[in-house]
Amino acid sequence: MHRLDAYLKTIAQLLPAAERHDIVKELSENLLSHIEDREARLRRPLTDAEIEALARDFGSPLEVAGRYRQDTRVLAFGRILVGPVLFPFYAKVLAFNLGITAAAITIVAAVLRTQFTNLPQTLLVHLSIQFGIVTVIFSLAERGLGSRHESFRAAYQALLTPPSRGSDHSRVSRLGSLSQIVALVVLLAWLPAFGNAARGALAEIGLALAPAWHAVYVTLACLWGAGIVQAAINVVRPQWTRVYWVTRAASDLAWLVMVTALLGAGAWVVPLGTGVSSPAVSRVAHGVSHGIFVSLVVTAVISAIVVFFDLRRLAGLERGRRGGSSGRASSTAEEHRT
Amino acid sequence: MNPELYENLRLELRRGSVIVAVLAQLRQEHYGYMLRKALADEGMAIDENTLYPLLRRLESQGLLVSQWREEDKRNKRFYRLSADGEQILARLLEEWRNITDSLTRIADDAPSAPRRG
Repeated sequence: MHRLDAYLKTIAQLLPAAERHDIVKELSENLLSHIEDREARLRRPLTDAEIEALARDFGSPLEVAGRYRQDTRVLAFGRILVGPVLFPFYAKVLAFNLGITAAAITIVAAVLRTQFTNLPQTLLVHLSIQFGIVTVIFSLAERGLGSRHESFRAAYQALLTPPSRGSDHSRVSRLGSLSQIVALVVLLAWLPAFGNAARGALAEIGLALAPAWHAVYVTLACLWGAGIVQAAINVVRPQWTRVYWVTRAASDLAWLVMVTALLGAGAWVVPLGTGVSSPAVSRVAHGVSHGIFVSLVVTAVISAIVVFFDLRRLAGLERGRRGGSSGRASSTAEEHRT
Repeated sequence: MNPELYENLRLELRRGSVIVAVLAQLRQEHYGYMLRKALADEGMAIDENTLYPLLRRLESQGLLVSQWREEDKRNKRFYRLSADGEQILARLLEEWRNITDSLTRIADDAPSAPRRG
């Protein structure tokens, strides 16, 4: 029954939280009815491979869960680009990426204040680029999902069906991991463009970023790269939840260290060119530095809170792992065999 | 003939009738698995991934009521038609008969296709 439980748990992860328990209970009952029916016909218990085949015939978790979604939103320009099954993940990735992009540009605009005159245009360009890239990736995924090519469909089935071996531990959603990869790859690709935009905006007022920021670029690239590696691991091994939480805590901690190091740098902008600045440029540089200082302090405080919650969650997971290792036999399917 | 086009039209034609069939079958109480078998026995096979979400939708619309009950040592969800469902079903069946009568007349009156050979 482990295979059946894993299958139902994967479906559960993709269902709306409010209805999750009820739907899975009914699906479980239905699958057990199938199994009993077949066992009665064969006059022997089904093998694990036969149960696995039965779950496969029932449909991939994504397809099964997709049928229950009340959310029937799609993205369509003439034809459907992102259908109702992938749309919730598309919306999440888009919200994450556009949120970060808008926040980063708005912070730069707030720091530069009156010197940053083309905020709407900059925002529009950067948000459009992110929207375009994310939409193209999900449209391609949608085409794969509806593909008539057996190889494509088989690849999707393999991706969305739980692995053969695995325990009953909770899992990191594979689609969530794939969405994370898409979001971070797009952000990584966008990072140089954002750097250029910030440098360009500063250059207009005779300033340049101090060398301390170079380390930020490398650190951000490493952090997002680590996020991609962790998500790739969880696509293959969704049951490795510790990898997910440890990577997340380590990334948040690294982020806090980076922000603190930046705060310690003291100088965040320098005069452009010869290094000799006019009094007017110095005044602007002082204002910009003040804005950056305030932004960094706010970011550091938020990061410290996030790290605190990460560590608390990790400690809770560790306690749960020690306490629950002996009695972890709650099986969704078995629950219904009274 | 384009088989894909035919399949799409066939599914479109079936979509509404599946709802009527489910409502009609649930004048008698059934749980999901048995309902599907009963419908299949009557020649109305429905994919499970269509049936179960449909049952939930019809219940949320007040046309069905359900109850979890133990049978054969397992908890099963039994569905049956609600009072509102009975009224709606009666009207849908009436409409269905009108459509069938009209279609039969139209099909009978239509000039037959020229025979080849």
